[in-house]
Amino acid sequence: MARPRDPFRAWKLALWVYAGTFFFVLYAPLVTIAVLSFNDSEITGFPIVSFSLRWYRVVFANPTLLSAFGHSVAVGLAAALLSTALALGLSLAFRHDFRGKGLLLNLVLVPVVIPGIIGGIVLLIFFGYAELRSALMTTVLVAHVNWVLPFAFLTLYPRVHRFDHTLEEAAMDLGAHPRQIFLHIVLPVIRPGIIATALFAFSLSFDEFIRTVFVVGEERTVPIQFWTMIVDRLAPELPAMAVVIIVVSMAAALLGFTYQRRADAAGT
Amino acid sequence: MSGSAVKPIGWPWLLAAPAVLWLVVFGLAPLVFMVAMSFWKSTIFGTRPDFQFGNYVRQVAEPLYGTLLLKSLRIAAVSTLIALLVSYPLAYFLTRLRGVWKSVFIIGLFMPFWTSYVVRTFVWLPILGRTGAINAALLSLGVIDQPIDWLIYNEGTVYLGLVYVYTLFMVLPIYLSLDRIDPRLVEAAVDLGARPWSVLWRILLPLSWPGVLSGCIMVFLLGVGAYVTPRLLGGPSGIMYGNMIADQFLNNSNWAFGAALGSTLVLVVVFLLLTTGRWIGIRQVFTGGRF
Amino acid sequence: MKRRAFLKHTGQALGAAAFAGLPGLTLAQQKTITAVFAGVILPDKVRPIVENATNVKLNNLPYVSPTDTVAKLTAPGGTSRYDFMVSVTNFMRGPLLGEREGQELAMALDMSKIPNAAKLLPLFRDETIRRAGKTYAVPIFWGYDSVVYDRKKIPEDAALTQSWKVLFDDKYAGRVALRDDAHQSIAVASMAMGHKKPFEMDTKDLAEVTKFLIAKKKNFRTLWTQFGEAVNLMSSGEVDAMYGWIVMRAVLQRRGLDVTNNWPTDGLLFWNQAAFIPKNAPNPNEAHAVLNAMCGVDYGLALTRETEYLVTSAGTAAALSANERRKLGYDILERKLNLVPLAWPRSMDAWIEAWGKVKAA
Repeated sequence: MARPRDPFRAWKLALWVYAGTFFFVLYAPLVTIAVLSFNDSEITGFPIVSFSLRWYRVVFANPTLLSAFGHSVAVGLAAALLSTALALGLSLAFRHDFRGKGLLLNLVLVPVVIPGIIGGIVLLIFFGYAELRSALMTTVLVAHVNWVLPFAFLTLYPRVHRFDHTLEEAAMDLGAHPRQIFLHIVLPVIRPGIIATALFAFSLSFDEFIRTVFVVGEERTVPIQFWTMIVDRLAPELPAMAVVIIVVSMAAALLGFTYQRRADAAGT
Repeated sequence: MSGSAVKPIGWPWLLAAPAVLWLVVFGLAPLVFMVAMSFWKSTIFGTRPDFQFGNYVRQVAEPLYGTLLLKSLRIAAVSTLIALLVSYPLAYFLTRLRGVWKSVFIIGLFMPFWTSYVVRTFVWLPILGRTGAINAALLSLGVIDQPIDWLIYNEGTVYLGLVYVYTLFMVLPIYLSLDRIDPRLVEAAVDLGARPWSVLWRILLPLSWPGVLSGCIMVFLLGVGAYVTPRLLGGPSGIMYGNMIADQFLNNSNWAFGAALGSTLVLVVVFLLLTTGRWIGIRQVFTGGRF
Repeated sequence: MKRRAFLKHTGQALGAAAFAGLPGLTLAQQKTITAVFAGVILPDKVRPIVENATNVKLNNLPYVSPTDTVAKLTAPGGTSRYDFMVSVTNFMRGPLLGEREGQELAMALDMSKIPNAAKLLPLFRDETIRRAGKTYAVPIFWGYDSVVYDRKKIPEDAALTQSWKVLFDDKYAGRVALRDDAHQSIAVASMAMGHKKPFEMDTKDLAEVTKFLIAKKKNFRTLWTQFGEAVNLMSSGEVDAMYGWIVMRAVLQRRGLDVTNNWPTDGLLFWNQAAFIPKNAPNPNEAHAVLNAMCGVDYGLALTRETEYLVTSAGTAAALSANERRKLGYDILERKLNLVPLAWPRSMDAWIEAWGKVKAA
């Protein structure tokens, strides 16, 4: 008598129903935002007066919104590159045993241990006393890399660690120089993992708000811009802007994930 | 561990050096500075380094601060638990998908994460409010004849808001852990007569434990510092420790006291991490047991 | 290689976006000054008036709160980072002047560059921040906070409506909102309880007001934090009355709602904001020019008509019609309303703690 190989087969339906409900609840607010973005009304909310593309026109015609997007992309790229590079160094180092590894791990986690608002305020105080002006590529970048680095490390390390040592050992046995080994053997294989990490890092930076608010200067990021918009005026174009960002982010995520699957398929 | 036998790339400290430098300068130093400042005195004219314990005495003398700290810890813990219960089945669901569907659903999980969280929290009023979508739907269906008041502006809404925003941080590590489990283990168990609950309790859960703990600690840390969500969704009682800290800087000029509150929070959180760390081995958790 | 080409193109596209986002690419001939003030005082329609009159571009930083503006000034290096700041006069008076003479954080203004400042409404002539014959800050706009309410739900001519008590009365329980702000909400509760000088309350009175607020907490639907949120509360019908700003009333009225504000007999919270130039501002000449423009009639008329906030320039008030003056509230002195100036309380620490207790209860 053949027993079902999957012990959850009887629960399969329940699981699918659950997943369906989960995604429904997950997307309900997004769908609401999207619907509201087409609402021809100055006040964000129901009822729907009539459908119009008015707010999308406002978004694309507004230089500050677009420049905020540019700033977020700029600092996001910088934060992603920097934190991925730092995380890569850390990940490669962590493959070995060395004294102080535990301490170093705790140090890596410090930015995550510190709750967001304190992280921002601490940098504000720090930069204030260092008499450093708030600017995109200095103070904001530091805040973002701080936030992103631990996550980059935690994402990248498993991928680096999974890399098969025997390939490296074989190359060494054949007399290859460590740098050659890294460039020609290790790097090509972990590259998709690096890219995936960088994309994750970029997204974390893009969405970062609470630390940024304390160290932002004149060049605003998207979350800061959103917040400024709702602080002392109505922002009817806010949902439209949010939708634009979702679409762009989705494209980026799709990219990252394609690389991820390529890596998995290649058997990292 | 094969790691220590292989040194193909170079001295580990050299590789880690840039990151370490960064963390010491931009992570540790500001933290130390904040703790130092917590002993200073702030007036409306500014903050002066006059050493005093007043900021800490005040936290002990006035029960409000202890209450808020406990409240924040409680809310974070409950949110973590809810997030875990909500995320585990979904992580398992993701591991069972194959091919294109897996990518589709995982990207689908990420997507709501890409909206700014300012927007994600803002959007609940048109959904849960008296004239929001849910009430409108229920009214038009005749299920109720008065709008439901308690959908928003209470502690339940805060849980909803927090879990909603942080679910990704819970699903991801659990999924990564579950995905690595060799399906043959499960097959073998079934062949030996194991029932579904046994498989979950004795195989899946223990092997995905590092992922579970990773996710729990992430969500807990994120929740304990929550600031926007309780304020926007929590109604007149929507206050957590993070709000108290923020008020010192944004509505007052008492930076020293704010620094003291912040130091207390970091101290408590680090203490919690260390104690749980000793119990489950935090090093193991944060690297998925792959040291 | 397809993948490499794809990466390259994506990289280029993102790089272009990033490049566009990098600062300093505009080739303006005007000078740009760094300013800190609430965005509401320079809405997009009004901005050109100031920028064209002075040929100066204003780069205003994200505004957080009046207190944060003071904090920015008192932080190390704060006096040389910004050119032009505006904040609530009574909040800034102390920190701006410093404890004694010689410790001022703002620059002594060259009044010859600010001729418009001589023509202020009598109500505000004494509000200029001065020490030893030198002027450090000039009030440029003012307003009042009151209860913004829906006339259809709450009768305008009831005594209860024309008092802060309307926010605390059980008659409207669950249909009112306060602002999530220790300073203003405690002041309002204090006035509702009958205190004539809410900001001078002592510890005992503060404790009483705290108890009162805790008891009445269940009456509030929520405590709003943002402008847009507050407007949404009224426009969606979530609440019928709330602590509100002038500009909220304006927006809701323009939306077609039958909304107005009350004139509380127990005290109309009345404030003004003054402009000043930090001591070591990099561009003091331009800052002076901007200050002058903001004391002028053109700016005043535009701002007042756009946001319904009021300005201190006497010329603006004169240029409005009597009807406009009455509607906006320029005539509050003539109407003999009970004006309670917004001031820094005796101990803001205690007030913030009290508010924390109210919310935590």
